[in-house]
Amino acid sequence: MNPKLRQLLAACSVEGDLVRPIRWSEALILQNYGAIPPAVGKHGFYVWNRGFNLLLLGRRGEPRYFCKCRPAADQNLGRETAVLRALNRDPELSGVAPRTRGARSEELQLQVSEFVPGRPYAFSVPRLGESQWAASMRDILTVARRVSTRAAALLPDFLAGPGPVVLHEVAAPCLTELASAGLGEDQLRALDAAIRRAGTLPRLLQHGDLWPANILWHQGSWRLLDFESFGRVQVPLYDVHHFVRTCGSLRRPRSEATGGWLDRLASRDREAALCRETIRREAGELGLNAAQALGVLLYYLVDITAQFRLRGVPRSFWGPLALEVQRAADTLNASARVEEVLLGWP
Amino acid sequence: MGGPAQTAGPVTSWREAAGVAAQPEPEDGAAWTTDHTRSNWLWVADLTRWDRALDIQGGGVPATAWGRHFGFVHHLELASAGLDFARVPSGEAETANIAVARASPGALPYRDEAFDCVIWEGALQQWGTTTRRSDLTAVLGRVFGECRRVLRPGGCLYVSIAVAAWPGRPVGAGRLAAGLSRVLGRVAGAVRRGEARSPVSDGAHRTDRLSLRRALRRLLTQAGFSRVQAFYIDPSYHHPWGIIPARRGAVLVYERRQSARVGLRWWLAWLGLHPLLYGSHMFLAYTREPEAPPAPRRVQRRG
Repeated sequence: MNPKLRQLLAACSVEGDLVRPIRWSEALILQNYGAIPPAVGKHGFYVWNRGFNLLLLGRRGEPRYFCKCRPAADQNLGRETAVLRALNRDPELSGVAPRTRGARSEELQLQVSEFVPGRPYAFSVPRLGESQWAASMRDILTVARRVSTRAAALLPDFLAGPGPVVLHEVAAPCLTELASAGLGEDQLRALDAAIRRAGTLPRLLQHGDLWPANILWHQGSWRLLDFESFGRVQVPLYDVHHFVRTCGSLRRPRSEATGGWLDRLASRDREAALCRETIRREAGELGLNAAQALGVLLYYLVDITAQFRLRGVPRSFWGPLALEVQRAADTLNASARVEEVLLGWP
Repeated sequence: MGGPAQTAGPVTSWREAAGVAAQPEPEDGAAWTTDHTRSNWLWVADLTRWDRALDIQGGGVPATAWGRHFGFVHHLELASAGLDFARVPSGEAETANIAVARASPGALPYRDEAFDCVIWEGALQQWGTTTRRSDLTAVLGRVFGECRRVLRPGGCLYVSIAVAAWPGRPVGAGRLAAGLSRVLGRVAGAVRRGEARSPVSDGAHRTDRLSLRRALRRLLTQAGFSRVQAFYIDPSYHHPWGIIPARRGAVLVYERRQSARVGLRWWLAWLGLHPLLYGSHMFLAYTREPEAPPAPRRVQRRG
């Protein structure tokens, strides 16, 4: 193994077992997204700063450590390491987040976590029956809510402010980004007005990428992975919309091509009803009304589209989301009862 | 919606931004290329010096990717050595730490022990699949010998190769394994993921995968390399999403992560037929480390 990487691994050693030489046959490169050092020398959360992951095996071939390797220019990894360490130290959440260490050099950042065994929820979602699916979504969202609530006390520095979130203020930069991508003024105006109707919301740290691939089932409990974006969004219900949308896409991958998420959410089939019910229930748990739930849904769509664009991801990734935003705006312009159409809110 | 990832100057609100959106923007994802992920194998290579590398042209990644790791890179464009080099592109621009030369890899124009690392990505791509295996083996033997010569002690040769570039039928594994692999290979073809998109994996003889690893390991050892490590690249060295040690345990762990159920791929790996599963192989071959100078003897004074 590369001595520069070996040195950082030794610095992250939890039980001294990473100090020993690691055999070549014990390291797998996974999810090789970007070169280290990257081809583009721009600091930030850009896609070219995503690096790769490394899976380290034990002497008997069992997975021991999951390591994230990122260029020094990446801004997310150090933040995630801080989050995982805080969550793992908390007696209430130590089962949700693995034991983690971090180290960095001029060239490379490394995060080493104990390997979290378990079955990815992404593998199960397409095969679950409707009631099982609904129950699993409820359980997972309960865990996510517990993490978010507890994290406010564990990571007070992550909160952007003491007061509530003014939704149209946090949405404004995203709308600006979409405007520069060519979204029409009528559509922007409709989105802005609906988001303004949501007013203010209680501040709640969000996971930021709560989707089935980042959720594991292990020994009777749910575990969450990938906290790189944790706390970037502090708008309650954001995780719920992301989670429900991505679950829906995994259950009906073909429908992505034929219609958007909002079309499916507004449809009359049983699964759409389950999604709407889940969103409404979670909104109720968080104390949000219909206008706020809708405002967050619109904010979620504009934010995720803008984020993809800002990260330098090719258009093929964010293009479908941009269409979704357009559909949302068109629905707002066409109907006065959008909360009812999209969320089934009477 | 219009083009991609850059806003046109400092814009303060979406109303203002809507006014400038008509301006053209750069091509999608122009700043990001997955090509350069092909250099990340260097993080599993056991190299202690990073001064000079030799990049043998094989249709691989631009030499600039290696230039970010090494102090200086010599990029070798292939000159004909009685073989068909017609498909070899030229024009790798010289930059501050990259020099371009043209020569045959069978006769490298460099002094002994000149490099810390020799990189041969897409090996054999120039020869196509029509060359007989015996000829190919001779070529490889000659090139590996030359690579061994120009590497300093403790240096590393990286070879990545598409299985499709390796012709002929399996040898040495025994007729039983060959027969079994023929049957399983046909089935495995149906379950291989992603390789349909790989530009070099079309038409690969699945059964050849069993002999490739053994043959290259033998040739590298014969050329004088003291340590040879074999890996699989998934789905191909063009897009190395995963780099897996060519050991059953590691492959089983990797395959388990890829799909929901224990499927045919997992069972093929369990049976030890994992070479069938991947379109590209990678080898890291090391020259012997320099022997440490003998510790100075203590001279005991008498009396």
